[in-house]
Amino acid sequence: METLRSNIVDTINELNKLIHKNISDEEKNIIRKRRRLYFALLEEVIVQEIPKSTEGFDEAIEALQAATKSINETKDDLEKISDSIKKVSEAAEKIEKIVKIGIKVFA
Amino acid sequence: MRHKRFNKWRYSLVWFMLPMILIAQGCFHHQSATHIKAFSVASANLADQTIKVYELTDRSTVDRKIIEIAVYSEKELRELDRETIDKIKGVFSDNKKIDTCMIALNGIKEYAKAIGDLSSADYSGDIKKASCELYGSLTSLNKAYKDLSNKDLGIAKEDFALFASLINAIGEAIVETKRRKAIKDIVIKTNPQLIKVCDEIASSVENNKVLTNLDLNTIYAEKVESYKSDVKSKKIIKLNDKVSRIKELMQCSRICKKSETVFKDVKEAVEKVKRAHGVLYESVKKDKFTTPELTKEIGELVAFAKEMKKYYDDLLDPEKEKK
Repeated sequence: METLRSNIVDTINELNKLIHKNISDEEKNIIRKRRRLYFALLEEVIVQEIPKSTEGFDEAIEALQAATKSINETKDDLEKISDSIKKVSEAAEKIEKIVKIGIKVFA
Repeated sequence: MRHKRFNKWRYSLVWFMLPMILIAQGCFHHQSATHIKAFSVASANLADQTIKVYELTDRSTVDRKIIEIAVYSEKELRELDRETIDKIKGVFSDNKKIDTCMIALNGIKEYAKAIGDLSSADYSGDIKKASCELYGSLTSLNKAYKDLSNKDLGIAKEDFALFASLINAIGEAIVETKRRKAIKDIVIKTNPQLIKVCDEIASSVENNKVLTNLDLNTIYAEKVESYKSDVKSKKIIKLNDKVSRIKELMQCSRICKKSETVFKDVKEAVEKVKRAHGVLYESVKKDKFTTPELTKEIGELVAFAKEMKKYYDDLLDPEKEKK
């Protein structure tokens, strides 16, 4: 069963791998910011135990999977990094709509 | 004459039998006490290890949050304030479930200890102490289970009163049969509750696993980045300095790998305590304090507790982790 938790974990793991790539310091800082955001969301997802029936759940999962896939592709083609960061931010926005911890996500 | 001889014979028999009865009673006590004490020590150890694994989750979250601030960009650094520092907290502060699991684990630990003390106490004072420990442990288990599952554990006030009267009946001189009766009744009454609490703990382990592994892997990723950056910017030039930093990375990677298996073992530890208590329950129900199954189960429990402590010592003890 797909869970928000496992998909967030996958995305963070991919971000950790991307940080080791030959990207600029500025890009690394953006990745770190997004990773912090994802950790905050993960902690909340664990506490809230969000059921699958929650509105926006499926969209959030889809967005997370798209973000993870995009980061994975970026590891081979660093040109795609801005697209990946955008997808990571979009997915974060969708999770935020579910957990509602009051974090503003800037793409 | 015949009567006198009979009396003499009876007198001799008593003197012959008395040491044997005492030895037998001693063995009887010794055997049951040894088994229950072994169960008690191993269960308390495993509960303690599990508590340490929970503390690892809390500690790794704090460490990860510190690292996150340590790698702030220059712009973020300018905005670093006290509020950000005060937000560095582990998962316990906001996660009631984890906090409650800790209470439940302490309850199991104290319960196991109390049963062990009750089985081996030689003085009435020790019995009273074990009685207090038992009362405290069952109260913790009761509360923790209610918080975890929103259900009642089913240990009523009358049960506490029953346990107290059973323990009081052991008496000043410690009557072995009454001690066994007290242990038997406590184990029988507590077994269903222990199963429920162990199941609740086992089901909460997955969240801790996920968070801890991710925290530790993030810390590792940043340490690797920091090393690469320091070499690139020539902050570390000497070979010995590089070697010691790489050794640090190796230790960090080892901790990450161990954290991946420790949660599986914690689940198994909780399962083993539950199973051993179940076998103890089945044995005492038949008034047996030692059976081949109990010996086997307790043996496995003791071995597992020892192995776990040995293997995860550096992971679970923050002081050893630094070395």
